[in-house]
Amino acid sequence: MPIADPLPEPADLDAYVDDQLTEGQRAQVEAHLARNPEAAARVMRDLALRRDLRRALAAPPAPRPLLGAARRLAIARRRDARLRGMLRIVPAALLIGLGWLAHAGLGPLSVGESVAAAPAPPAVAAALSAHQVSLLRADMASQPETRGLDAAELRAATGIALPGFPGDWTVRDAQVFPSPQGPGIEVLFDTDDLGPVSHFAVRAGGFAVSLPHLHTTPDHAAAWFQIGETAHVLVADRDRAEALLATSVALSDTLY
Amino acid sequence: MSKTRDPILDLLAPLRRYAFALTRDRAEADDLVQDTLLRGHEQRRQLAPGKAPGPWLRAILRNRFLDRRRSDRAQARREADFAQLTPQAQEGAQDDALRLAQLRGAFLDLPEEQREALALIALDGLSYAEAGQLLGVPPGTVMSRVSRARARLRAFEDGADRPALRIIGGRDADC
Repeated sequence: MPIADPLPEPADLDAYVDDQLTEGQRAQVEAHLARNPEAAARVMRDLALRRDLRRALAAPPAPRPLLGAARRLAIARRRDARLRGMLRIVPAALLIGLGWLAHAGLGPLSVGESVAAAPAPPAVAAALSAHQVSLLRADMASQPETRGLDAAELRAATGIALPGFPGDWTVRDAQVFPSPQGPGIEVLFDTDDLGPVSHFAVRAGGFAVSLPHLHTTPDHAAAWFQIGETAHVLVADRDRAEALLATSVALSDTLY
Repeated sequence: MSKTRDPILDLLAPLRRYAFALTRDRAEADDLVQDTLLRGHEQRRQLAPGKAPGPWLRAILRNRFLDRRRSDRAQARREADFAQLTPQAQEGAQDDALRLAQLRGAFLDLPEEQREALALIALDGLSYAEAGQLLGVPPGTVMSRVSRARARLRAFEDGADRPALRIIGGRDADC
């Protein structure tokens, strides 16, 4: 606290009101105000004005869609952070893996089945055949379709958690479907924007987290991702590939 | 979920306030914030991990606002409507609610640069430097805009019965 009054400029008073000063500067301004009632009155008034402005411009409660959009962004950011965290482990895991390979007397370059980053995991092949079977069943009178989707029972029986599907998707058929990886869940939907879409989920036999990837065949597009031990594959017609990939991103979001 | 609120949710109120200060219309402001959040969702990987989302979202919001206004033909009409609406501030506001409503009118009547600067500094508590970065001007410019905005509001409070008279500089006989 200076003995000589430095006589703050009006700008300093503004900065004081705007809370832009360091502790030391604040102390200086306050010392000045204590000796200068006129300036003090102005500062008090500006502080009151700021408080009143905050009250005058207080927004009504946020509408629902706004909250929803904020939550989606918040969740996406958290998930991105978590994913980054996991990816950060990868180099360490890789080193440990290499160490194990060396220990096991294998050349570090002998690419084992599990090391090869397959462009499309086997679940995709299973999903494509499940999709074709579902479409086949849909056209057959003697093969009744199950239009009820009991996610809880399916989860209890198979250990597979289904994502939250969009509300405007209609279930046409839901069945437990055999695959080389074990029983999978195949659900066929009717959708407005993607046409018939299959969601196929199966235990992948290992833990991984991967962002959705697109795999196309001459007729079909398959978007696959893995979260934890379950691989998810969406299958639709080939010409919907881009939209399918976008949808799979949204679906994967619901699983965190 | 976790107990600490997500920074994004905490930003919702400031963003809405900022959007309102820019658009001067609640519905349009919320629409702008919604737009901003969707944009943010799409572009979220551009924000480096660990960086505060506030300045980033504010910048998106501001750009969206400027884009919209550029393409908004109804803008001129709305400005005219608004000009008609404001001068009716009445004198002698004993009632707190009425006084706040008038203050709000006076705030919304500020020139855009001053309104925006005051919103960022006085309402959202940004530093002059942060606001300057967002607005693309030096901190000193932010400071003088805020100062001029405040002078106008002071003048308005002193002479609420003469809203048509713009007092620049805001010298007032202290009561």
